[in-house]
Amino acid sequence: MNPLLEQFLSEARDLLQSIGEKLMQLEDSPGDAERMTALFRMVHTLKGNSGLFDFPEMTRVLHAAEDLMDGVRQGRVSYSKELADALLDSMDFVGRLCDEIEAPPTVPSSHAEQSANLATSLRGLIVGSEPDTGKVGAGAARAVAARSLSGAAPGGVGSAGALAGSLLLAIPDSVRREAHRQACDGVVVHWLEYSPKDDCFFQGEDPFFQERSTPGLLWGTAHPREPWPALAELDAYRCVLTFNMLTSAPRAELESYFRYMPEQVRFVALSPDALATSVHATGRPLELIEPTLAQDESEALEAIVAIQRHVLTLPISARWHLGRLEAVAASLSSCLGASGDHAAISGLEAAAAQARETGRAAPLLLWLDDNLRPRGRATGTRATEAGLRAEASGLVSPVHEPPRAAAVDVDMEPKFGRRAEDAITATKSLKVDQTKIDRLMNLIGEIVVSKNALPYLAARADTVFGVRDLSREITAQYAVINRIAEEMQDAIMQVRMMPVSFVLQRFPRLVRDTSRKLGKEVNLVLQGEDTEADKNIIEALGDPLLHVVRNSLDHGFELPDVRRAAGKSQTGTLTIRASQESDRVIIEITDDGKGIDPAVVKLKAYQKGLIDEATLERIGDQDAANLVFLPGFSTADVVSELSGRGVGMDVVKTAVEKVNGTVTLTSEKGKGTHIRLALPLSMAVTNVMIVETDGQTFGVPMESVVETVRVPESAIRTIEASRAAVLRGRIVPLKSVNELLGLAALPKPNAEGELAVLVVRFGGESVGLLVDEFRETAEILLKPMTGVLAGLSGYSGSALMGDGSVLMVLNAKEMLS
Amino acid sequence: MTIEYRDDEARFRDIVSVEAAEGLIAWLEGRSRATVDLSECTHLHTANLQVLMALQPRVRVWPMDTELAAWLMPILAKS
Repeated sequence: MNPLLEQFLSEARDLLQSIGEKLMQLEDSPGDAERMTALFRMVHTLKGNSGLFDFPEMTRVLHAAEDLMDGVRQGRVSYSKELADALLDSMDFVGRLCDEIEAPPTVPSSHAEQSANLATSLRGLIVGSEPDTGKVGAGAARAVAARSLSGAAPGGVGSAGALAGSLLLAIPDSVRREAHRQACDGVVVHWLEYSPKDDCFFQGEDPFFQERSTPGLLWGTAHPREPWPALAELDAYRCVLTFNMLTSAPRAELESYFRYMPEQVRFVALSPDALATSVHATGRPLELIEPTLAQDESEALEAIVAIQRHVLTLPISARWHLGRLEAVAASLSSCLGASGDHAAISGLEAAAAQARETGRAAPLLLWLDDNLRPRGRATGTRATEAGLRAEASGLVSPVHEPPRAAAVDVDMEPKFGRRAEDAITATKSLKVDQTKIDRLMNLIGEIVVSKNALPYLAARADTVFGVRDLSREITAQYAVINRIAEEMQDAIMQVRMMPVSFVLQRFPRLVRDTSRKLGKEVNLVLQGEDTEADKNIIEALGDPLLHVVRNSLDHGFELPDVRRAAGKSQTGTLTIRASQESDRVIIEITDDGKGIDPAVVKLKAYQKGLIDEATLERIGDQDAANLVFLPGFSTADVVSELSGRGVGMDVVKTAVEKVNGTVTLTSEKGKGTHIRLALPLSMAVTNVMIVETDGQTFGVPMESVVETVRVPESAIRTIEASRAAVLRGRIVPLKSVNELLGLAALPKPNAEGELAVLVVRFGGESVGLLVDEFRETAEILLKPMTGVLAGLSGYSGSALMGDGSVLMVLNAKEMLS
Repeated sequence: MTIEYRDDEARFRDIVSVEAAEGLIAWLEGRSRATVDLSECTHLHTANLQVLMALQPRVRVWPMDTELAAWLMPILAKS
């Protein structure tokens, strides 16, 4: 995939997200013009970007959306939920296209129809809301679309016959003859009218080129849609041309050729009759008999005539002007002779005589126009022709200088000034691939580690090599490098920090859609969206949050009627609040739904065999509510599309715990449920406690360490096979790390006969780990185990220490379970 | 630029792009005797075609590209 496309996709996703948000915000305040403009601009940008690539399906839908938004912006169409739904659907479609562009290389053509349907329904909303049309809904729009596709004229001129009379006149006989011959051979000849949009130049289109390259082109011309404005008002970048073409290419090929602008082109299939019987400019029916001249001869003749015409238009300044007129007359006379049109010679001679008398070329030109009209000469030249006639009769002096407005310099200024808006403004943010940031972070991590080797070096310089001064200098340098390294580490952490809004932003849409589907009314309140945390944490937060919110919508909130009966407001409120608490980021999800009924949960858990009878008897209400976190627990009787597949809350708990977070749930029956997710701010730097056992050092993550104590061997009791000790009035089971790691050695007591016990948190309780010795704590960059070692679940990873040794970090949870 | 301006003649070369149109208007402005030499032109953007159609400078030499010439002559030929 090329970088441009990559960037487009990444930008498109951002834009789609923002568009969705804006749409939702507009639902609350439909009159907000500023938001509306912002929304329009985003849709417009997206459409423009999509135009850079060959995604007509996407562009068409976006274009329709843009038009609709434009209508809304200008107050022609009123904003409604249906409109928002249609736009959201379209954006989803575009999102799907983006996904497909990313996965397989091409967009399957099956989307074309869907795209057309979406575009039509969007345009239908424009039409439906236009007060003056009186037509309602998508039906009218579909009719419009069908018309433009089937090629009937918007003005109602649908038949080729009606068309032939007026427009086919411009086609030269030779071309028409060729078209007629092809039509008789069974080829469908199409008359095309291509009216590019005013602003098409800004979309990088070149209609003239488009027309010239039309497949099967027989003939074509261009004419302005409106009279030319005065020079001062002439806008070089507004397309006012309409193109007409005669082509023999099959309809499908033409439609595919014009697939980017189906609404700008109309096709009319011409029957052989239509081609033959239409009248010529002079009223003659087309002569179907081949002229006496061969094709190349008639071409040569035409060229000669064109040259004569050109000669006549030369300025009459030269002294040999009269001679030139004579020469032209002689040449034309010879041409008539050669083509066998002797009858016309007398007319020519009369014109030549008149030209000689007046000394002007006009009479000859006029004669040329009447008798040897060049191919494709449009009928739009009547005015000039009238001028010529007047000139020929000597009433008007020759006008060689076209009249032009003088005050144009003034006007040019703003035109060039307009360009300034196009200037690219430097953006302040960069989009960087995450792998690059990760690499940078790893490199910085390595600097931190290698910098830590300097104190060792300083010590060696003193003790081994005996150079105390050098040792001191190394230490001084170390201080500098240390400061920079720490700042670098801080900086890269900042780069990786992301606001929680990254995961929260999808919820407005989700809550809106889901609650609608369920027939519930839920108001979502987001707080503290700018709370920041490491990207990995934020991403890890996404799925658990989604589950929690879905559960809450599905099981938590009651239907509006039920709510009213319970004396609550009809609309429920779901609050997602993010905040920072020392080195943790806290996400709280609160709903004011029906809460969790402990009795129901207890019973369910018992029925599913998740708890035994004894637990059922003694478990407290809050603990009962927390039973929903048990694997395989699902209270919903009916498996719905949203939640209740039995993978609900335990997934949340597992996912959160994977990133060293915790989940707590409190619920009050009838009042609502409160779920609190607490996650570390960053996973990049891990604080570990270093312990020694059997001559090896291991790290234990600080967040699982409760305390370190020394217990006399005599205080350790053996209950059946396992050991335990009483610490602060509680029985704490003791496990030997050596045993857990499969080391044969026994825990080594210190000189006082005490054993080192590292008390760690395991689930809700404390467990003592017997080790030989405690060492310092350290900040390390924890690298997860990769490759073959990834299967060792007893370790959460490894880290490189300052002296170059490798520290294995234990995963207490895995080891104990 | 794909249009060369010299005195009263604009010489179109190869493919004349859309950007040239504004300059062409500015140049044609007030030049009543402006002529256009299209001999070496192979294609001109619609914007330029429009300008030529609207302001009708005299075409002194038609394109050597016969296909283009066939297009332009009926549209631009001035009476």
